[in-house]
Amino acid sequence: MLALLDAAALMLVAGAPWVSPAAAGGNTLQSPENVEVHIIDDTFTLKWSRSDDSVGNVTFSAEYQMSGMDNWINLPGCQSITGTRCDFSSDELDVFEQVTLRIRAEKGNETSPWQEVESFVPFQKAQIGPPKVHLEAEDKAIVISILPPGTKESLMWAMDSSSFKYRLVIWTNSSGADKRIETVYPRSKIYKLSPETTYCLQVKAYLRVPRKNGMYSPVYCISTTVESKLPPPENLKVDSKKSICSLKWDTADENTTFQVQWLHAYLKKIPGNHSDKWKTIPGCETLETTQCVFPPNVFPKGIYFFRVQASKGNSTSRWSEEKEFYIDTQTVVLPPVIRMKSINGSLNVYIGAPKENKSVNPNYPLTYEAHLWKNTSNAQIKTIQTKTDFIIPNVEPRTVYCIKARALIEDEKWNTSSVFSEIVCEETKPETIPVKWLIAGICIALFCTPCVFYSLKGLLRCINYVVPPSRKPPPCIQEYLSEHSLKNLLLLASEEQTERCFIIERVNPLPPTEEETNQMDEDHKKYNSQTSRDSGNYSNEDENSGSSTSGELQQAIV
Amino acid sequence: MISKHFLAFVFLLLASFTIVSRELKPVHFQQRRVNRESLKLLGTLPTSLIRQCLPHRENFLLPQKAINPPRCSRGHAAAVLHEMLQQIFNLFGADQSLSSWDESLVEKFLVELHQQLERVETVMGLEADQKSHTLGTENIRLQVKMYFRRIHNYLENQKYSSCAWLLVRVEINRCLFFVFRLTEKLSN
Repeated sequence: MLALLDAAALMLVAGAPWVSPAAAGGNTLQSPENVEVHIIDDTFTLKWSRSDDSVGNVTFSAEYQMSGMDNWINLPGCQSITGTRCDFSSDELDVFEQVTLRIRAEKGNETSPWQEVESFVPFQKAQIGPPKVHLEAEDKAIVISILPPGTKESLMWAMDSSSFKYRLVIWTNSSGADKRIETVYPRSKIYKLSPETTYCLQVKAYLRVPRKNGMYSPVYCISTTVESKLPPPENLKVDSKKSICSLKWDTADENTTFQVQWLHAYLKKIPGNHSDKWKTIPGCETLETTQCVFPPNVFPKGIYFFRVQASKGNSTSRWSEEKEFYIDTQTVVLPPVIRMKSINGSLNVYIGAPKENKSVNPNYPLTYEAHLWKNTSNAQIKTIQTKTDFIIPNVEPRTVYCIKARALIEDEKWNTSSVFSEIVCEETKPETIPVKWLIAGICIALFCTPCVFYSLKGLLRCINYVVPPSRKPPPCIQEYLSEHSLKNLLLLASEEQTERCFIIERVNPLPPTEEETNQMDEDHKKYNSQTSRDSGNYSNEDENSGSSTSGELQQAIV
Repeated sequence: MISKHFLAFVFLLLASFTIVSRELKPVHFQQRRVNRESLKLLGTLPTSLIRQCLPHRENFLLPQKAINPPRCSRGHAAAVLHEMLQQIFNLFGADQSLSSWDESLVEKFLVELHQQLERVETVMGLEADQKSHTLGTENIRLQVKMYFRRIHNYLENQKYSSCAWLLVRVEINRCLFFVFRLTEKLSN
């Protein structure tokens, strides 16, 4: 809210000076209307219309302000203009900076309020003017040289002179309707024309990104010459097999020799004549075959132009069409190695690079294109673009599937690919219903076996602890134990004896009579003293039986 | 001799460190080639000349914010990248006063640069149809153009002296470092 108020206040302050002269002046002069700026290349024009034609002797003056400046400066070329347009082309204006213009009408001391033009960046507002064109005729081609728009000292396009691209429209003079459109370099040839025909053409320059279209040049007309006897070679193409690159072409004449030349493609972008930059390929100066094998290491990876010339006796043909090729001798892509395996209803495909793949430039990520088909039908059922191994799910059981793949270099402009790999076939396994379950079952079983084993073992140990097995000591120990003195010694001051005594008292199920109790007490004492002389283990059996009836116990003890 | 190789090494090291093992695109790879050629070009400079040229140094005011923004859209990065490549190509390609340079090295640099430019233009040409990418990038392009105009003006004022060219070469190398990072952003 505060910010809004501030903004409003600012607007008021800023607006005040504009309001005052109009209000305070009260003059009759009115500001010019429909003020427009037109920029074509380096020509800046300001146009406007008078608001009141009846007032005579009115002149117009304009001022400008660059971004970041506080004061207004007289616009050169637009001071005291009597007409309704002025040329303000000047070196003072920075074509990349935002500029604001304002104009007013003047008569003697009287002035109209300023009329401001929406601020603009000259470069962004500028239109690309028509390029200058020079033509030269051949029998079946026209050589065209284009000078970039603007003058040589152009400030507007100084930074873009080699960014321009050119579009050309060409037609024969006789049939104006049949137009051909081509994109050309500043210096190139228009091919596939008829001899002795008048052609007319127009060229415009444009910037590709950001898109900016220029104006068409005036129409130029030229007639092609008489057809020469020795035609130039045709259909140039580059053939690259393994690591050997070669240029091939067609020729109509026999017994001719050829010479091949090349040019760096980047030179085509730079305006000017580069005809002296063409170089001959060593070994391809006088060829009798229609093929030139590039010597290794002459063409590093790059974009090149090639042209071929035929010679027969003393006469030489014109140069063939200049063809652009992307040569990448270092990057020969070899086919991948594939393996396929059928695993429960799906096919696992493994892709690997060939071992001798040293020639591939590691700079390029490879993509693989795999084609899958059934052996029976031969019709392709699937094409897969992949970077890694993959799985083809839901394949039919007991069917032979075949696969082949090739490596592609992932690139937007230049597509290079290897040949297809060897075909690999694999029969899918018959459908076994619960394979998953079987595996899961085995897993569970494997997991459970040790668990069960250990838990059983633990349980057994517990049982043993609670119910220890009865064991008799070895006879030699028994001999020892039978001796009284030793018995006393062993059980001297043991607390267990009283506990045992207590247990036996409680265990006794029949409440004895008074007489018996007395007797029992005595007996118990006896028993106590006797048993306490025994080792626990030894007396186990006796204890057990003794607890059943006191009578028996007594007998046993005594 | 050692220092210049060391410089090249450090640059290459820096460049290679910035590569993260992600899905890398050809633009990024090609830029590495461009930078490598640029470094080779710089590597031919004699050390004595470098010392001699130090007083002629100039701040070309590289538009850091435009070139190396903390966060930037794909369109932004592509626009800056394209404009930079284009301008470097203009600078090195158009001028015929490079005779004192090792021509084959300049040629190699331009070959790689040209390929990269073609590549970027192809990518951008496809995207330009969508229009959204070019919005708001005009000002960035202007900033880059102005920066290169300062370089052109400097060369002109220095009458294309070998010192001036040397310093421009160093500056361009610096530029390419940022360009490399832009391609990295683009390829992600």
